Amino acid sequence: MLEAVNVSRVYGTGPDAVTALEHMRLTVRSGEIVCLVGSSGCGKSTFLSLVAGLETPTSGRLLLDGVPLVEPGADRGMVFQSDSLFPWLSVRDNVQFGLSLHETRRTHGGLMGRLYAHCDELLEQVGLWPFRDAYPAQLSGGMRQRASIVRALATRPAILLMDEPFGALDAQTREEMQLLLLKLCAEYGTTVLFVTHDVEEAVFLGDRVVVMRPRPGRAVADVAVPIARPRDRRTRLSPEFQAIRGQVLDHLYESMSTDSP
Amino acid sequence: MERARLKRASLFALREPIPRRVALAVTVGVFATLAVAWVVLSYGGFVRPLFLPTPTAVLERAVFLYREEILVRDIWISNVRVFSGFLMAMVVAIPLGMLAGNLPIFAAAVNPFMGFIRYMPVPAFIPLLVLYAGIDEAPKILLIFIGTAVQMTIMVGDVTRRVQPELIRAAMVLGADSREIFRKVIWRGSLPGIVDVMRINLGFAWTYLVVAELVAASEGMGFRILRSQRFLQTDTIFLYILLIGLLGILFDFAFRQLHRFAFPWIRERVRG
Repeated sequence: MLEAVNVSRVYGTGPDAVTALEHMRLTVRSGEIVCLVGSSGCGKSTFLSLVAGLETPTSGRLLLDGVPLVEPGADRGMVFQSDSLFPWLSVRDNVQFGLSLHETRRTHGGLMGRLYAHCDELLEQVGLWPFRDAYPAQLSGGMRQRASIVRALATRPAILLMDEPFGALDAQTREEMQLLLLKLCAEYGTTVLFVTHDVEEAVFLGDRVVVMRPRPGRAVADVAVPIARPRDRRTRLSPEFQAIRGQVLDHLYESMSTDSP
Repeated sequence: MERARLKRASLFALREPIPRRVALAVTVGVFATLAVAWVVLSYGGFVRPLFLPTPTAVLERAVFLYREEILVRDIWISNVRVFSGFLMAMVVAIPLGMLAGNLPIFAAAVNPFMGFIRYMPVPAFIPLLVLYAGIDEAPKILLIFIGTAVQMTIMVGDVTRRVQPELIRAAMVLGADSREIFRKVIWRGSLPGIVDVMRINLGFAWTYLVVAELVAASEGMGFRILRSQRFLQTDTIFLYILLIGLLGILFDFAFRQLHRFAFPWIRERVRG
């Protein structure tokens, strides 16, 4: 379970200080998929960086299963929007990068051996097994992002952090990836914190959609998505889906209109 | 007709690849033109041999110097000097450049200092080098070292800084510490760039050869060129300049092949 209590992040000091995130409160329960939506500058990516441990909060507390988060760790996996696979490593070596850092622990009760096997299993599952020896440059954008997801899941993290992971993909590939993500989550019970600016994507994936507003960045609404799983392509056409989508959009536009100076 | 015209125009399209054969023909054409010009001007008697020796004279000179066991010796000793200085520069510049490119505290220490040295004329160090290091191989090698190390450090710094921040963030999230990021991300990611920097700097190292062999040399390609000037042996000068050019092409080719075989991940493209 991820808990954020009054998390703030301020860049700079004095009159030039910018509050990127103010008093963020959020709880993501185990196995839950929570999506953060909002226009640019609303602090959604900043929040993700804080959870990832890439940045430190100016104030507030971040706990993962009760343990304070201070630096990056194998308990969190992250998928970035841009291509962040190492171009000089094969798909398989990319996926095993996190594990290879802890090579020495391999002896401990065969845990590493199981994790390596888990990597191969994941590659198989996302259809990348035939491409395990290919370099990222040889893959399509969708395949590269699949590899990124597998890499993030390789260490069996307690939470998967995703920063607009499908934003750069074409519409069809994006839909395919969303379904794949849901499939993986259903299978492994993965907890996900997913940042996007695409409301439809957020509603489709999430158990909850948190709407954020900028200047200063903070959460303004927390919309539950009680649509049954498994969800598929037809889910988007249901009136229920459209109603929730409308609700989220309302919060979004409301926040935008009050935002104008 | 129209098609042919279009096709010809496309050879001058910005950043559009041209057929391999055309590229090769153009490259060979440039060398051939120069060779023909040389042949016509020298054999035709348009230019006095003192200014432009004939190809025959240059070849004869090559055979003579080879028989006298001077040619190979000169080439060998100059290569030893250039590569000694160059390797020393590599040993210093690669780590220093990597640190300066990625750790601000090293950047603060290294970059302004390198900027300070960078504009100093390398030949001006000769008197000091002779004073400190004598007249043997040391000052010659040190001169080449000074000439290349500074540029190399700056260029390596630039190349390593250009490793995408997303890759570094990704490695951090996967649990890599700073040393692992240096070794497994920055080093690996900038290695092709570093090889390129080496290729460019080897050229610089050779351009300092003549200057280095100003210092009490008695053999070497640079020395031979300087001495030939005194005896008005233009053919020897031509011979050695051409040889250095050939060596340059050879080393450049070697570096390019290295690039090609060591970094297949750059060249590989999407399948099917």
